[in-house]
Amino acid sequence: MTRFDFNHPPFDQLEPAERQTLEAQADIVFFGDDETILGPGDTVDALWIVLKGIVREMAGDEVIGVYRKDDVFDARALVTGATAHRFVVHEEALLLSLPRAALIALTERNLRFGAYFFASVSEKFGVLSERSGSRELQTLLTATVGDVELRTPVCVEGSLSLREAARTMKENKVKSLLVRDGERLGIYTTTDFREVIIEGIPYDTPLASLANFRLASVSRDDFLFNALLTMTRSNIRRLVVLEGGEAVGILSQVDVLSYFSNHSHLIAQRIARATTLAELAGAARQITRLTSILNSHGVKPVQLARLVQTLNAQLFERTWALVAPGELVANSCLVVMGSEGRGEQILKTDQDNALIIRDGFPADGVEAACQAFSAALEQFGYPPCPGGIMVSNAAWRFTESALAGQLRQWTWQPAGDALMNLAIFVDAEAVTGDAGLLASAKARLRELIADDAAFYARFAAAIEQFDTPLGMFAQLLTREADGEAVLDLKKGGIFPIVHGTRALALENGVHACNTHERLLELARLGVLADEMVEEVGEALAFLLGIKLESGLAALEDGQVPGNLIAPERLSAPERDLLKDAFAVVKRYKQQLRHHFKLGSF
Amino acid sequence: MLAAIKRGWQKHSLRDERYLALFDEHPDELVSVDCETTSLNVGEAELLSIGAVKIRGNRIIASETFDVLVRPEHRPEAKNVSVHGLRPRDLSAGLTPADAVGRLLDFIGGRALVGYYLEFDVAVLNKYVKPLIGCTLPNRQVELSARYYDYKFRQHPDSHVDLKLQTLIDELKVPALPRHDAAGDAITAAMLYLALKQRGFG
Repeated sequence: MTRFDFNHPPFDQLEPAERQTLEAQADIVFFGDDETILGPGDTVDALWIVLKGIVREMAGDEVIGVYRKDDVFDARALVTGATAHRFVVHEEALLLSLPRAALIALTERNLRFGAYFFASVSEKFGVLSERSGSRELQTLLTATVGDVELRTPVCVEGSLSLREAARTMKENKVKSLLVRDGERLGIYTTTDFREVIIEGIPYDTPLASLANFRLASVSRDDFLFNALLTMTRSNIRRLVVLEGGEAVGILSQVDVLSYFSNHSHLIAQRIARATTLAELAGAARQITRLTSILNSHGVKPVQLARLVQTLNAQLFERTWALVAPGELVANSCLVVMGSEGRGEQILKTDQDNALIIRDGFPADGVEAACQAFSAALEQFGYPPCPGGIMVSNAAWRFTESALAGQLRQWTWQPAGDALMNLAIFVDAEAVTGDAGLLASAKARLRELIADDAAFYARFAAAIEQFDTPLGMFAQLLTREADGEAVLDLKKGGIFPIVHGTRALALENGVHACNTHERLLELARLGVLADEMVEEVGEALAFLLGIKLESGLAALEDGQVPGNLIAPERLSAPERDLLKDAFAVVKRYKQQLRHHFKLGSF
Repeated sequence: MLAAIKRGWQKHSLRDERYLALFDEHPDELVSVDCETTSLNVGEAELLSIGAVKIRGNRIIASETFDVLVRPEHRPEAKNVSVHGLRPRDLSAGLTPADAVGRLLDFIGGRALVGYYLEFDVAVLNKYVKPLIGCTLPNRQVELSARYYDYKFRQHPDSHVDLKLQTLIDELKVPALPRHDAAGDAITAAMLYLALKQRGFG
């Protein structure tokens, strides 16, 4: 047993004997108010644990971190041997000083412990999720296709007759056959025999003439989640599993569902079959419940968001089909924008949708359909957008030419509302109708800004709109007395990442709307370094995760999920990662500031 | 003045020159000492364990903690076992009192002693120190309860000052250590000392 409490990260990764070894080399140091513990130019020969008191981390005059009991500083300085920041006692502090040499020796022996110090921030997030993963059930969304017990495919030649095929299926107790026809690979299932009977097809007909050669496939290494998405999107029940180009198995819907206690697929089917808005409302409630269950099972928010986006898109499509006349559906494009468009809205926080109508299509009936649509969404639990960004608002129903004019106006002076509207539109994804209408509007937008370098700087400048997020930790020092200090995740972290990435994507012609996809594309184009992309991506995923947690908690209390969280309610490692995430945001903002030359405005 | 005469006498009585170092006060280091004993009566108390830790400037050198168990000549009283948690079997591996005290003297050297009700600990220690070196512990003593009294008295001259150890720990905002043993108490005392020093009562 150790004298001090080592049950907090990263020391909880240590074996009891290692903790004892470490403690035996630790000293206790006392600092009075405003004494500097560590500063630029100092040799970093120790890692400090706060036993009592408060320490603040300063970058210049700005408080960028606060350390309390059991908090540790500064892992980064320990590794690099120097720090650019000053660690100052805010409230009389007793610290445990762990010598650098002892820690380095431990990091070499205990890799998990070492990961905390040497891993980049993004890997550190991984350590945390691994820790929670070991406690929680692994669900299929974190599993790969290979993790499922695949049915071994029975492969036959296309020349095989229908009768022989039926016999082979019976002998092998399978419901599908893979059919090889020269280079082509197809599938033939028991369901297909219905056609044989109905159409009176002779039983000696070769399989090749009836098999389905438009096979949907999935790689063995792919996430099971992706397989499910493919099935959900294409409304098919089986996928061929490929490994090195070879079919190694068949993944059926039943296989996935048996893994999937929550049946996202069933929700999709329920949506597809719904004939009334009331039925859809039931499905919408199921989506929220599914979110909560999957989250508690440790499914990462990024994947969760994409699944929810897919389900939501189907929900919207079905709803629109129920409330809008077929002519309107065909001659317009319903789009979702903002976080819904990016696939980053996990809980229902906003409607954010618009309608683009083909030029010349008669306007009668449009208004009524749109009102019905927005009302239905509200019934489903989507709060009306406070900014009125929804189809029930005439300002968000455009004819093609009206939209072109609007875009010109927005790009002319991208500030204030125009900027926000533009940003929301940049993230638009077509849900149903003629997607070409949205595509040409986006193409129009790119033309408008193509040779306007100053535009991007004005557009990107919004990242400066909110206080630098780390500064918010300063509030924790002062606002404690008059109640709970809160942090705005959106202003502080999510918005700068999303908007900065959006600006870069716009500038570099990246078409993707999802922030993670944009980041990867930007890395591929060489606009951002791989390391930055990884860190920003992880930071965003972490912030969305925290937001989701607090949102689900709010829903449970019958409140509306928002962007404010109380850092005090987070666990110590979460708070630690939150600081890291904000530090990443800060670095990202600095790079964006430099990239867009924001200082010059 | 009196103290100087006392120290002169002690030095005169010293039989073992190896311990002359005890008289050389260390310029900037102290030692916080705590003993677990079989009884709270100095006459019958026997040492069970001794903990000590050096204080250098604002740093408690916990990495060089002195922590030894002592094998008593008589069985510890049952009621005290519940306080210090040292059962007879735990102590059978301990050092003889003379050996333990000899090592403690080497550890202390010329450093001033710090402790909470240090008088008692020093009195018990002296029962072994005197036969060993010829004189009692000559080191300067910093009594935490007295320093704390001065500190509180300065703040509220008329009020009663509670000198319970827990009160000092709470008031000076020193973290409570989970383990109650001589070394742990010596570290706690050292933290109390630094907190008092910060307030000008070191």
